[in-house]
Amino acid sequence: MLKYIVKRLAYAILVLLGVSLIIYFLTRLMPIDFVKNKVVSVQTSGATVDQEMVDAMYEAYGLTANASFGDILQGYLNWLGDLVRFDLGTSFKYGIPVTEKIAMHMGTSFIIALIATVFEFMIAIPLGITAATHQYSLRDYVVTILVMIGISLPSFFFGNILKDWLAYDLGWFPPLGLTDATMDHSGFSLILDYGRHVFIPILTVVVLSIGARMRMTRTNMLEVMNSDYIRTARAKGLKERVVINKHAFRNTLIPLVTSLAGLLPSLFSGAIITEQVFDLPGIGNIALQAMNAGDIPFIMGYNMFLAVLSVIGVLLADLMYAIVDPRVKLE
Amino acid sequence: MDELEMKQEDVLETDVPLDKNVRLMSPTQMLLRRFFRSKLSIIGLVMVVGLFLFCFLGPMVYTQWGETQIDKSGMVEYSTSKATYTVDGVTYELHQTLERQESDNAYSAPSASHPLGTDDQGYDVLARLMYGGRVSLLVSFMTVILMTVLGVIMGGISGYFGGIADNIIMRICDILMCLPGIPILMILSSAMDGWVELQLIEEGMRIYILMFFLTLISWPGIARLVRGQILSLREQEYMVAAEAMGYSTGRKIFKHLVPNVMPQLIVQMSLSLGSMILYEATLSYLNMGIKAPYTAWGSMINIITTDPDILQNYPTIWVPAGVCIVIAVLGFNFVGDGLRDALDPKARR
Amino acid sequence: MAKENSNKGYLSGKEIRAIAKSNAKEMKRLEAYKNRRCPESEFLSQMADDDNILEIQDLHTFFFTEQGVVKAVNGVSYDVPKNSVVGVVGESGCGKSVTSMSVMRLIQGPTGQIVDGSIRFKSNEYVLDGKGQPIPDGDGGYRMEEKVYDIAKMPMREIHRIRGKQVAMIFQEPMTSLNPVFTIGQQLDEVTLLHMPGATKQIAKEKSEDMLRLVGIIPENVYNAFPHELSGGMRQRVMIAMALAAEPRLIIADEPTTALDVTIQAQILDLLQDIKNKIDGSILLITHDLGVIAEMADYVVVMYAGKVIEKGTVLEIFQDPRHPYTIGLQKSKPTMTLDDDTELYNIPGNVPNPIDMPSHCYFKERCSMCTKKCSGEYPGMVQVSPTHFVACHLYDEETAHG
Repeated sequence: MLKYIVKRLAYAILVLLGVSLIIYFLTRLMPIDFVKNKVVSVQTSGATVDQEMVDAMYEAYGLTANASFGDILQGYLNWLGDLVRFDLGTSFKYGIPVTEKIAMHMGTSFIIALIATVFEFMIAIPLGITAATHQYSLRDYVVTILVMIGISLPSFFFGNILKDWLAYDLGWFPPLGLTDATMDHSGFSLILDYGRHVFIPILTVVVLSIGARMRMTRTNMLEVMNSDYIRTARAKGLKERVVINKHAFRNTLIPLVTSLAGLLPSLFSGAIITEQVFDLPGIGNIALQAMNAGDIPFIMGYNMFLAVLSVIGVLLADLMYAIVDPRVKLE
Repeated sequence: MDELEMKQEDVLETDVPLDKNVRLMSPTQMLLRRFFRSKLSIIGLVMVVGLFLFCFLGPMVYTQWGETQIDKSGMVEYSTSKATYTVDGVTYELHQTLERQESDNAYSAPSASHPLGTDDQGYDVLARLMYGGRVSLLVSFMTVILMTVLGVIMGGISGYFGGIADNIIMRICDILMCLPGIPILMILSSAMDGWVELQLIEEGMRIYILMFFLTLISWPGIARLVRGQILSLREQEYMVAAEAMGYSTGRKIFKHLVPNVMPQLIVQMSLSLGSMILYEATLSYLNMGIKAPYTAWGSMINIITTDPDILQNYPTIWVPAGVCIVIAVLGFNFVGDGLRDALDPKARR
Repeated sequence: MAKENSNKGYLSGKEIRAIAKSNAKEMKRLEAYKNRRCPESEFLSQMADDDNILEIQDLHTFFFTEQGVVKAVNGVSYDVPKNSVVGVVGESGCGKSVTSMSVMRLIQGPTGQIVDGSIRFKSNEYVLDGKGQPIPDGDGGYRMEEKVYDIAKMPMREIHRIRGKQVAMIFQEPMTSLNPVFTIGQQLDEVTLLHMPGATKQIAKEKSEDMLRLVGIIPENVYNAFPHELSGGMRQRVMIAMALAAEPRLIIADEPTTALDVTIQAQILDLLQDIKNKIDGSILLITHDLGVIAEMADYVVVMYAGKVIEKGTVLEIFQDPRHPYTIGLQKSKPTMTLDDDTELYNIPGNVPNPIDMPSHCYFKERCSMCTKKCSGEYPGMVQVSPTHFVACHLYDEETAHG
């Protein structure tokens, strides 16, 4: 078990190395003069970046004029060295260390994503089971069509439709932001205010993500329902309800729980589009703004952050699989 | 005794005639029957074909407006306001009429000459929907085809040769699968800002380069599918038999592997088409799309990020493009799903 | 029939649509019949012979496929007497498994449906009071009563009265027939908890352990194990223990040894032999292995292409086989006494596809003793002795005085 985990960790580090290589060299595609211009323009506008920082960054990224291959490699190694020490550099746009900025906004994204995921599972699993146990019935068709529409909706389109309708036309919810700046809420009313602000974003995310989960449940459930042990359970004289809810469901749960574990880290990564549409101060929206401002350290840092999250997700999913499925032994 | 053990119990599920006196469905008939049995596949097919006709034949029928043709007929808009005030006990009512006149007919409501109205620039929305759809559909198609070709080659090498090649390719897959999609494209797009500024490339190339890069990082799914199929097929008895009969490597692959991988590949492709359309639309929405005055569906929605007035008051400008995206993605998803069911040998009905 | 069709014997689009249409109609009707609500009286019945516990009469179980209607079981009749072992033998696909699945009502709908016929089963049930509780008989047990159900007419919502408690089943695939996420103990206890009135977890555990011992397993080793930790033979023993747990009147063993190694097969057969003497019930043994039948069965039913072609006591079938197919079967069985240079007999050809059955004897093309009459209609059952029946035109004369 321990040996397995160590092996997997070593392997994860290898993957991350590869990812960092790709991210670094993509960034290096940027012409140096352009980077200089960008830095200058940021400096003149906000003046949060001092020259020392700029020089340090130039050096760290190997962004010297006429860089040779060795310089680029040296730049990569420098950046990698900083990365290992969790130093992602200082953001141009925000003027504070990238790690700090990410940590600041991670929470908001996480809370929204967590609530959305809870709803997603709570709605999608029963839907998937009922669609599978009533395969080819009207119920199956209706559920399938609805969730397929959900899958097919672009988040920016659906988010804006909801915003236009529920916030602007009906005025039920505030369209933008996380809090109402004009009011001074505290305690319960503050939470209520947050709730009103995140309602539409969460609704957007849930509608969009239910489909994949529901279809996963349905496919698994169908497979399980056709298996021999379900026939055995029926032959025992168990009522169909027990066969489905006990024997079939426990087996369907395995991939679902596994996927939940794999999902956990990615909850921190933020929903770029949704946060942009509703102007939420989540990590995704921050990253988008950083990108529009050409904030190289932040974009690189954010991409690495996402890659680490997905590597952890894969690891967690594997471990979870071994925990929930008695047949799987880690080795 | 061998006579008795000849066949598995599932006679009912085999498609092989047990005796010559029975007529069965041909494999093609079976596939078509299964595909068309599901109403959803038919709906999906209608949606996809309809959209293609709309985008590629539409402009030939609807010739009044071109993609980049601004309606210069001008626009006059009247707005009235009323105010009442009281002076010395007498109530006055003031009616005011404002006339706004512009040379471009922008923001016009649907009318006979503009079935879906015009946008903020005075372009005809319906015409731009057709031309924009061409870009969205073509880019997505190219992406999926390239991605599939790459995936098949990589998966084929990996599964067929195994060993070191397999190891390297699979590790690359692991790495690529951990890359974040949109954010990594953001880096590239930032880099491209520099190229554009230095006039190394044209702005219009951006979306094509981005989507090309997307193919470079999205082939692992296909590669794994192909590799898995090859590995499982290699274990099958008829492959061993083919080997024993001395068939050459190439012949083996084409005769046995390709027909077995094809169905799954087609399913995967049609589902990928949906997700690529979404990708393209999202990039366009984030202003990384095709350069004005040309347009794509996502770009047509992009306007609402800068102008909330359009979001609230001019749905005819952005909603139709969104609806087109939904129809396209939904259509491909339905078709892909229908194909998957039709090709599933385990299907019960 | 196929010859006149130009596209290589495939169905035409028109025919396919016609099949789909009639299938949909039939399946809908039969599904509705299966899911109906009805009073008990509608599926109560009477046994023809009180010594039997199961009487299958003129059973038709069809599969409505896209290719046409597969008549997997096409008018099968046989009886299972009390405390006996009935062996059903036949080639794969002859409908023997489908018949047993029909008895358990485990045919997978909506494609598979019991279309016609009756399956009368004499069940022994607890007498229930007004609240649905069993009434104690004062002796530590409960009052029982015998009822005869027609399983084929039972709605699905009532079927739990029969399954598990009255009729238990041992399946062909021990490797996949146990739920992988529950322990052996949990799966065994479930049966007792379900069927024994007033059973507690403790009672269920004791009962399960008894059953495991009965099938030759030391309970301590497997009670808390998961199925994947056991070998195929062990799993089949667990399946048998599970079938025995509710003390059913009838155990259906559907090719219980086919998926096992030869040495394990022998062990499982010995176990079944042993159990046969220990329980108060009958066994319906389905197999394609004549050796197994000869060893275990009291009565034998020979099936071919969805029909019973011969049935009788084990001695009659083995010493005096009448149907050319049964004779062929016996000849194709390898024995030690055969000389080295004698070729093993094999029956030429294949089982016909049950979609498009000829109206004459299904065995005609493969039969070596054909007469002119065989091209006529399907032969009826001929009684050769009080217990021996055969469906073949060769014995038509015997009907007259039989």
